[in-house]
Amino acid sequence: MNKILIDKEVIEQKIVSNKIVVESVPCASFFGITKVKIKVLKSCNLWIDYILDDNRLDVTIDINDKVTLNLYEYKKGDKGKVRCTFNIGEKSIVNIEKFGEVKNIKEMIITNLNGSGATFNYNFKSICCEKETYDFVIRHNCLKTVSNIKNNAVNILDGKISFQVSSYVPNKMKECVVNQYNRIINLTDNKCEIRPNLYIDEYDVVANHSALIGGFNTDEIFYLQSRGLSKEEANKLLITGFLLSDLNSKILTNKIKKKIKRFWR
Amino acid sequence: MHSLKIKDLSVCIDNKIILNNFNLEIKSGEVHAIMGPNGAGKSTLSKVIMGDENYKVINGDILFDDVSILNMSVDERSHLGIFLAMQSPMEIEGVSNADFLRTAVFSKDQDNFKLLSFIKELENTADKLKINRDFIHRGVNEGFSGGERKKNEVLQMYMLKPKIVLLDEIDSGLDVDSLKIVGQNITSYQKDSKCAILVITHYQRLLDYIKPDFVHIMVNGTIVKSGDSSLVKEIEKNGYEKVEQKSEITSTCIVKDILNNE
Repeated sequence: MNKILIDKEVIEQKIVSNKIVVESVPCASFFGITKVKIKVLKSCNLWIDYILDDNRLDVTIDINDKVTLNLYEYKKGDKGKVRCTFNIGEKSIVNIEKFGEVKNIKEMIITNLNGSGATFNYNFKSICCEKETYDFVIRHNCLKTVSNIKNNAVNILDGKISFQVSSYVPNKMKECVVNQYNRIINLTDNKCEIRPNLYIDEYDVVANHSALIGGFNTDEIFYLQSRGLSKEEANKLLITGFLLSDLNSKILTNKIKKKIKRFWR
Repeated sequence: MHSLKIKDLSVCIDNKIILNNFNLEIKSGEVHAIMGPNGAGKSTLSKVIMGDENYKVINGDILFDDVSILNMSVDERSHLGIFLAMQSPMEIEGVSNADFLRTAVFSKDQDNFKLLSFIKELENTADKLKINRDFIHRGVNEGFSGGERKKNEVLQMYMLKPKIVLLDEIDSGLDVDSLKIVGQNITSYQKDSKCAILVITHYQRLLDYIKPDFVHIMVNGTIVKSGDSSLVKEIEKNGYEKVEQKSEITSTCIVKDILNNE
């Protein structure tokens, strides 16, 4: 698989095909911001590792027309700010699976669905222990574009997590599909926030948005306990299912399992 | 030989009494059927036996082998050998049937748990119930039809090997063929394990496969009539109206007594 490691200054690449071009600009010239530009020319899988150590990253990923990109992202570190922009071409599909272990992160994800039939599938998982803020801007700039945003997070310890998801469909952008599914399992008394915004100026659109903050359904716990699982085991199983749902990447799955094991023995 | 004894049980939810002065004893090898009109408290009874915290027991006791289980948690009751096949089994996102059952069986068997024999037994049972083996690896009840969910409940029953089985409308959502498979498998398990069964149902069709030794009619949270399987035919023919009328006066008096004691 193609791999890129993005750090404060160092960018390691292991591009095994000529399907991806990576350009980077040294951080010093942009007020401490590391700028990375990735061009995806043909269908491929890409793994990006981020190491955040009080640094700021600006990543732009341009996806050519008629390309399928399976992108797997993993972030770790103490603190950082990330801005990630996706420019998706005609009939291209971007599938993202993502898990983060950054204690304090502010991230902005901007998606421009620039070509007709462009699709953006985003599946994010997190176990928040400190402060995580995610802002999404999804622009349906063309007809028949599709966005499916799924954010699943478990908030623990001193965690405060927030999602602001804003999807825009301008007038005359017909037959777009806009889906947002955001859920936070809040196991603390801290305030968590989800703002699922749909700004749609066109009638011919299918749109769904959901925002759930709270614990697990007591009926689910009862069902699992009635099969002999203790309350702790039931909670752990539900958290595991919640965080691993719809994930294909075994590496991300293992990373999530490891973190679950650390907090729920 | 195991027994489940329900003594003078009264239960309420949101200050509304659902079960009042309910009495029943079930012993190993016996099959009891409970029938009754909608809202009689049949499902509540099964959930209260299992320990659902949404319901408040205001009077009476539930004894398993003469030991009160009222203070036991749901999982402790399950470990004793009580199993509830639910009317609407929950869908658990992202948790595979296999993982769920492995955790459940391991939780019960602990050191005696053997993974290989567990897998073998799970696959064989799935075959017996004509459940596609792929279902084992799918999320618990995720995208299952009503019938598949009920079969999944029976699969769980086989794997957990309970001593007291509570079947809450296990026949709802089943087509004719699935009803036969479910009915025959429950009977086969009962014969092999000599467990006690409490079937809650509205229809005779399930009782054609799971032959009850005792049939009870439940109205307004209490048993108003008991008998053998001929009672089922009587109800099919005449409905609940007659028994309901008889029970109304008695149950009003009982509710008043309970509220006065509270």
